[in-house]
Amino acid sequence: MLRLTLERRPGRDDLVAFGLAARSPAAWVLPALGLLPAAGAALRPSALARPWRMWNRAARGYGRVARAAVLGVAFGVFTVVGRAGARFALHPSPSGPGWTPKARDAAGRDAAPGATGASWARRLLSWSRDGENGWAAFLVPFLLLLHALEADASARAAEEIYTLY
Amino acid sequence: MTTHILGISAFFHDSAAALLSDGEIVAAAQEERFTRKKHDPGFPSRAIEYCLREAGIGAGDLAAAAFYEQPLVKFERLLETYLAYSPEGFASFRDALPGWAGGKLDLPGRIREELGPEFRGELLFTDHHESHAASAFFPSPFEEAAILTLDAVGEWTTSAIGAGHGSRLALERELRFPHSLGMLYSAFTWYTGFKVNSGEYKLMGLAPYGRPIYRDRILEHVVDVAPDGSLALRMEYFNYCQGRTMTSERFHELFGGPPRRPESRITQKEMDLAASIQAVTEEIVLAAGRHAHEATGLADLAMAGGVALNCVANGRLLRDGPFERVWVQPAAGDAGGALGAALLVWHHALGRPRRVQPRDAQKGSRLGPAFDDTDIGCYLDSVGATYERISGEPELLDRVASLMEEGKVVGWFEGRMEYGPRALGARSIIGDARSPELQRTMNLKIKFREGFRPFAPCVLREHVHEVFETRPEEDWPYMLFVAPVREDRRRALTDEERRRMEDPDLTIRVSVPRSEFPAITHVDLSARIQTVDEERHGRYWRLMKRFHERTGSPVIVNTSFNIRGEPIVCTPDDAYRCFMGTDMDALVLESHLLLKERQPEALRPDREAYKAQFALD
Amino acid sequence: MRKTSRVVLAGLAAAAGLALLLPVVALALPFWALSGLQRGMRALLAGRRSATLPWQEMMEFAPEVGWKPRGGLDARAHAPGTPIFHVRTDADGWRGPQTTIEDAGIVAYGDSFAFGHGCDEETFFANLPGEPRIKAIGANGYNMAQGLLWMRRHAGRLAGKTVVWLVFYGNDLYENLQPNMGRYRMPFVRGAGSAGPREVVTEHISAEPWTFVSRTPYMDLLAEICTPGPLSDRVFDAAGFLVAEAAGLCAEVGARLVLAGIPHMDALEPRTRARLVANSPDPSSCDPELPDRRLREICGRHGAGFLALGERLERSDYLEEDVHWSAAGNRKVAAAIREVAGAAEAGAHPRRGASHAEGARGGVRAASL
Repeated sequence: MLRLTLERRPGRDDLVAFGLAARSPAAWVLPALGLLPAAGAALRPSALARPWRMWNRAARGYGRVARAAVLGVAFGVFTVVGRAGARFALHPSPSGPGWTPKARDAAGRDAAPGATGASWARRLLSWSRDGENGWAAFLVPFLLLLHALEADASARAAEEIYTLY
Repeated sequence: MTTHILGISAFFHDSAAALLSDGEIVAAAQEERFTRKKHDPGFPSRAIEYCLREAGIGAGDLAAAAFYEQPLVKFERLLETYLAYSPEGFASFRDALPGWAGGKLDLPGRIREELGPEFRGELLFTDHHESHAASAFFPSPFEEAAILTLDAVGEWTTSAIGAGHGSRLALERELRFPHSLGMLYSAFTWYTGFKVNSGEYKLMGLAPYGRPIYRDRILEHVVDVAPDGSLALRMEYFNYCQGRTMTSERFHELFGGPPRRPESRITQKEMDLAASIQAVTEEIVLAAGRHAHEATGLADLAMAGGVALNCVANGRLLRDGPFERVWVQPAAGDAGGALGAALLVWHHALGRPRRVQPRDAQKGSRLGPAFDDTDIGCYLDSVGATYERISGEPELLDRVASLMEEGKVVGWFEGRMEYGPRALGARSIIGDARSPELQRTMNLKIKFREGFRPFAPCVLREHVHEVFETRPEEDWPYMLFVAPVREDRRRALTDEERRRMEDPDLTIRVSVPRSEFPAITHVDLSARIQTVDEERHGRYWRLMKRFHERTGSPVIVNTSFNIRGEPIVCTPDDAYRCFMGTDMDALVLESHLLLKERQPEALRPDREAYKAQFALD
Repeated sequence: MRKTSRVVLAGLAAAAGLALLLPVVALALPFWALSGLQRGMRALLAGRRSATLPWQEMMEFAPEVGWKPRGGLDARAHAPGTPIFHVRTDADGWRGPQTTIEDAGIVAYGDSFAFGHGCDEETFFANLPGEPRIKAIGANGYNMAQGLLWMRRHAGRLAGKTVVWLVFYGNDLYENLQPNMGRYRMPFVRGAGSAGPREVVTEHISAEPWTFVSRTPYMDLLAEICTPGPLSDRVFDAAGFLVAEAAGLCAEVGARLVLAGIPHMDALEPRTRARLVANSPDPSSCDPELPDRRLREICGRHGAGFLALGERLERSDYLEEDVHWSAAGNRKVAAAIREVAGAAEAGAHPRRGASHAEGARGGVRAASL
């Protein structure tokens, strides 16, 4: 999976790998602000720590901007699709509140067959074929982009925001 | 061969793990206790590690792991909410969506990664409310029972009613998002200046100081409640679907101003709001309970979900409702979902039978780690603590009872740690409930928390009805029910005390002794009771028995062993640090007794630095 | 109807949105590419590492002392911050199988420095050619209490030898007070800093993991030890007890004891020293040389020699990303140990069962080197 940034606290091997990557032909053709050749010039891990930090700072900064752009555009998709209506009632029904039969929408959908380790994007696509979620297939590219633009692994799950508050 | 099933709850708040071995609850613990981060929502790696260690197995021995809810169904609810509110809601959308991209949407991958390659068992995802229901019914002492789950929200469901028979349960009816009793209570929690998902119990404790003068306004404008306990929120008063706050401007207008700023002075308005929403909640819980009874025709009730931690409402449901017995899962919030998910797999997915335990299968909720006495001694040596090791239990109990009798506050650390939000005598701070000073001392000098908050009593089960208005030998071992102090134990107020009861300063109100046990009697003469019995509580029961023999009091104060914002202590190290960072007088670590006055001055940490480690809750 | 409308609207909006995002993707390409290449290279390095042993797997449970290196090892090892290094152990688990205690004139007890963590067989100080020969007895994570226990076990084989005790200030001193190193149980000193007796405690040693681990950061503890105060006093009280025990044992069997203090590399350069001092609860009285002074005084008191390796080593004698010695550091240490052993031998020839006072004379001379 694509990742924008490098590890926040690199170990010796991370730095050595960074030096090797920067020296590789593939990296030389990149428009890398002149930083990579300098980084590649030395393979001593300690000499690579500073270029590593600079590169990571640039990647994180770009990630913030890029994620904001993707989220803005993705929200635009919601705004457009929202015109077709949502599936829950914001206002009480005229007959007043009441218990409804427990929906079985949950049963089995995420159960063992879906949990075999297939990629989450494929599972999401497969899930979106059910019910009224077909439109959600079009969210997959945006979600993949957001995932690829994450700043680092430790920030992967904004774990405190799971429901809506 | 033994079948081991791991239950996991995570990524919202109060992550936890639970382990069943052939259907028996072997271990369960919240992650916060290990990471020392209150309500830790992260993956419960440390709790899982503990559970496996307790069972003496590795991840490769697990037949299955179960996650307590279904992420894709929850994601569907999230999408539908943004669809319903767009173009509003970008701020919330911006916060929420990145966490799902590859994170929560990839829970199967994440769980397998965390459990490691040796885990080859099945990975199952159960329904959030079914997990709650399972955590309530399966460990309960009932062969069959009605089930009521009352929560903020799971996937779509916010409350559900069903029934359990033997090893099967089914939820038949539900209320769906956004209409939620838990959300309603949390909205008032937020509006009165407390933190959502942790301050609800403070609001409950504040309620007795107020009058329910906003009750009608709430029922007229904010929520429609049907006679069957179902409800519909008027969403124009709320902001939790599309915003970053719980309540809307319209809500603020209705209740005469903006929300109270956290940590600012609590006014009569907040007290009245607390009393009002508590009254509304009790009515809804009672009505829902009656409806569950009618729908199922069953005599007993099992409850779980965050709202089931509202012990005042639970007490009312038991007193005024139709059920003979009510059993509430001690870890009724999301932490308990881990246990419920594992139980669902055992009974439903694997079809295994259930053996009903006459006193319940929760083992007093003492399901966490215990620590070896020799190791504790070594630890105390390593930090340079001054202690006595008292090998004979009678001598130890006598010393502790004597300290309590002298009005000392004792940290009590013994046996396996509790599962769930309450300290039940394994990680507790205890004292003499007859002391008029104790409540204030414990709140301000030990817990460093709001002075208005009451403390709960532990009472010898065989004496509970002599002190509180309960049935003889009522079995409430989990501190989940409130009952009034008996009339003959109450004190009549003098005129001066009556005046003090009107004081705007709540610490003055709460300091007015209302009964023979002022430290545990709330201003409305109620108490949140834990009964203590020999079978479940062992040495703790014997301590109370010794205290009773010495003093004639079957009641002691019990509060969780922590300071404000700190998770309840887990290890001897946590306990010793907390002891040294507060004004606790003595500490018992299994058979080791430490007196504060004998500890080297140099070992006392900077109190402010100790407090600063924990964010206020 | 709603379902179809949603799909159509989503398709159109997504197509337009993705077109808008093309520049965002283009600008992200260099970052993705370098990150991908780096991870690829890292994986290749990890592939090399996979044929190596992490240090935990080189160790095994040992009753009373907690753990020891596995016997008969011939493996390539690694740890974070070290290059891959070649390790061979004798049947008992000690590094350098070509030398036995009996062959050696110097027996060096200690922790990971005495195990040669991070260095190859050829560069390990105990394996470097020269006289007298050196036998190293050490394992990663050892505190001084573990060193003492091994000395007791080897007592009958130490007569006439110089016993060099390598003590790393980074963690050995503090861990003399600790019943555990992470999840591993270790012997420790009970009673340090109190009026009561001191003793080495082993009653808790078993293969069961220790279940509660203290959280104080390592460098904070080092800074506190370097600052006069209660912890520092307890630490040196424990060290004093252990040195007294070892000196008594050596005197009894006719060996000479020299304690070699190993500073943390941060104590060797002004910039990192300042950082170390800043971690102290009282930076104004924090002195990174304090361990040398206190241990020198303790050794003098108990008739043992003292070698301050901080006076011989420079930052470049340590690995770049790890606290252990480089090849250059190992060379300097071997030379220093041989020098101090020679001086100690020349200065004092304690007989088996010699009194403490006789041993002390040699020790004082060694300490002056």
